[in-house]
Amino acid sequence: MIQTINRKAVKELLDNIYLVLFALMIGYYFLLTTTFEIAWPQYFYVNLRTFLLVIIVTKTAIEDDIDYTDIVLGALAAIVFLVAWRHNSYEVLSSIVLLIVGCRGIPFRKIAKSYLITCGILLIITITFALTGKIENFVLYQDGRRTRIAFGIIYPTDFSAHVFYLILAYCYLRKEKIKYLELGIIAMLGIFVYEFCDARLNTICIFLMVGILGYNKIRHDNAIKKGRNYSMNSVFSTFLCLSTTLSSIFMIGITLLYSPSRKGMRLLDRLITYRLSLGKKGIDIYGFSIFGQPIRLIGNGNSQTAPKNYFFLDSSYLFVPLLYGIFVFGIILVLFLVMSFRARKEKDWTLLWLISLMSLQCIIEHHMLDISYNVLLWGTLACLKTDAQAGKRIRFPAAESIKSKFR
Amino acid sequence: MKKFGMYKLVKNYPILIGFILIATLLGGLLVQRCFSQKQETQVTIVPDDLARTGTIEQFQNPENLIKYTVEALKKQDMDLVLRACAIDENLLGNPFYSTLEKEEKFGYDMMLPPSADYEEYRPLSSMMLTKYYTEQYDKIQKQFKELGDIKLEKVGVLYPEIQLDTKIPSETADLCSEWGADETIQMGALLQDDQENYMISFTVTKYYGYWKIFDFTAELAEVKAGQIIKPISLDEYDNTIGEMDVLSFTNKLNSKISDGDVASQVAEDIKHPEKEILPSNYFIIGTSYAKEQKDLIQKFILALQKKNITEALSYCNMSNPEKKKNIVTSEAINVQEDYAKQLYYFYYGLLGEPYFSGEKTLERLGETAGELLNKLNPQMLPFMSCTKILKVADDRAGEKEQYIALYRFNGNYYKSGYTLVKLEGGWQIASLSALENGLEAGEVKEISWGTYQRWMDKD
Repeated sequence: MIQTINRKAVKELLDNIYLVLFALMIGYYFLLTTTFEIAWPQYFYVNLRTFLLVIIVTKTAIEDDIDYTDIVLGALAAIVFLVAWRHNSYEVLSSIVLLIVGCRGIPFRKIAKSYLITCGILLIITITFALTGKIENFVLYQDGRRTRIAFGIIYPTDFSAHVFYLILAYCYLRKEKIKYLELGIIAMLGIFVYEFCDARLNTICIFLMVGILGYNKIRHDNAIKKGRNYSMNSVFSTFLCLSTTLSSIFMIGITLLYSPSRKGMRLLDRLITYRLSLGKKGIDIYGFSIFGQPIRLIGNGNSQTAPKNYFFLDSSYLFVPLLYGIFVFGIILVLFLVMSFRARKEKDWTLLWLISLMSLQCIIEHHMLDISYNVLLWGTLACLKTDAQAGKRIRFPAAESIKSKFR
Repeated sequence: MKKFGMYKLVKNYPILIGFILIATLLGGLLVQRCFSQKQETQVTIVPDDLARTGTIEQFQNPENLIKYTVEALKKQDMDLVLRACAIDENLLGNPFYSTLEKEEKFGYDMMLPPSADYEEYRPLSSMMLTKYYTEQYDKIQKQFKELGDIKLEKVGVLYPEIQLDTKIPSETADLCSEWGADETIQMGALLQDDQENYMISFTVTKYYGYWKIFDFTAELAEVKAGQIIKPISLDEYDNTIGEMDVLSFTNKLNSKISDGDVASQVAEDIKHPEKEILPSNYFIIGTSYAKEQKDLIQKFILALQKKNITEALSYCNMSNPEKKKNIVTSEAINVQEDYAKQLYYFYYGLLGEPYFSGEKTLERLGETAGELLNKLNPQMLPFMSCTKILKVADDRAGEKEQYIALYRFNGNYYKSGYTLVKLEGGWQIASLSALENGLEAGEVKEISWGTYQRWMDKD
């Protein structure tokens, strides 16, 4: 019997195919941050992008109910990112926008799960291989700091960033159902990251996550006890929605105002490991541009010894506008703004808190547009609905009829 | 009522606050970008003679080039003469590496900085070559003054049979080839005043089908040292030049070089080459000031880090160009060449090749030609940090002050000096030296960590 094709079923199938390709792409970029020396097949990356593009186009063609906001945001993001890519030669922008647009309409829970499983497994494998000596395990000895181990990742801070974002994905999936024991384990991971990587900021962010999610859980539990749903104060929730924008204004503002002649500025600069002076140097030498420019960055990664000339833009709020351009930066801020307000609308307070934590972390780290790190990037156009519909399984009519014959 | 409406709008759609903030931020970044671009100083000036637009691209017939040049010399138009010289071609063809390999020695003043290999040195080589040709022009003008009203009678190729004979080695041809020229011809022009005949010789070189003046003398002309124009009789000149015209010679030369594969060149259709104007090929540094002394040094260094050499040099005190804005002068070119020299000394010192006078063998330096060339690569200069600027001396009478700047670069520590002068518009750099601290013009000294720390601790 010929069954009519259920559009929703086909969309679900395409979404799942997309998620497989998504996992492959995330995995590919994750492995680039490790010390694995992999000889990738010649056209692996190009073919992967081609398949992604085909799936995205097919998904869009088959859909008959697309939110106009998504269309506008998606189209704008695609135009800006692709034009910027042609100007500044950072090919990664094309992959980023492909993945952002491809995640449109897919429940963010599925994306986060896919990310968590892929990167979680790869991280465990990387750590195992590093500790058993099968791949390079960078151990850094820096003046005034404890010994820092990278566990198979190119730099200890990057390892701690992976841990941070994996915890973030896990916390999103668990939401307010997270147990205190799990929060305790997360806190232990924070201590681990501090002890073995000396990654102060990511440690602070992990502890903040524990604190915030603990508080969130308490508020939810108290509300349930009183027989109602927890609702965050509207002013405060609006403030959290603006966290990415406010963080960017803060970091750019303070960098522009930085002057080595001011003692307070020098102290702050030293506290955040010279990110202000290096950021100011980047602005003075290269300047902001509309679509970005190639800038040579020399960091401490992928080597046992410090480079002779260090120049790295660690803050995402300087890294993105200087390298990728003002327009790309603007689009990203708009995407996170819309995502935050959608989370607020869905009363997904956990997600709102996590976006704020990511915004804070991006003041000091450059992973805001890093494919294998920032899981929240894929939620910008994804479906954030928290009701049962979002996770409801779509039944295949043909499969149902076959099952009923064998019951 | 309107305010209340806005409040309601924002209350109902708080996302608008976000959009307004993002728009403000992006607007601010765009304004900052425009502001910093406008801040960029007047790095070059264009005197009236340099501002003249070229009427032809280049000369494809060397005879026309000579006619143009002689006319420019007669009119005492230095700008037109410089436009005929191979400034751009030589800075791009500069055989720094092959000279090092051949001579097996290196000296700060031995040759132009490696402009063929690294673009940062190109403006510096351009200024040095401009000065070289300006000196030749000044020598010719000194001799011209002694002569009466000059007329150009003939232009020809010196000893064409010798130049066509590939079996006879030619130092000139080899030298020009090292400098990137496709072909070389030694030529002589017959000048007549009321009383006598004179010959002025040229070495002209060909690049991509056009000709330029490589030098205002020729090996085959056999002129005395320091003499560019030599008295000559008509018979002597005719014997020197022979009967072959320039076009036939160039065709034969082309044919020899390419084994007869090239079609004969047709006469260039320029009736009055002496009336043409070639495009400009050099520049004059402009003038920039800073309000504060340390600000001046920081702007100078920032310009170097941005690889904007002309902007950096615009902060140097090129005295006099303001007085004669309408024409290019030898004085202006000499002054800017001096700063160019100080600047490439600065580069060399910062890149780890300490200053020494004279020349040293590569063996003594402990480096090969390739290693030395690599060492002088300034691509990492944007990553250099100027960590402190200290005043070390001042001369209130002359309104000059001396400063030391400390640098951290390539894992080492350096210091260099600046002598600053206060002028009407603000502060400028008088020289890249701090003689009170034993730092000569352009000199950069590597210092130990201990010395660096002691300087850093000073107020």
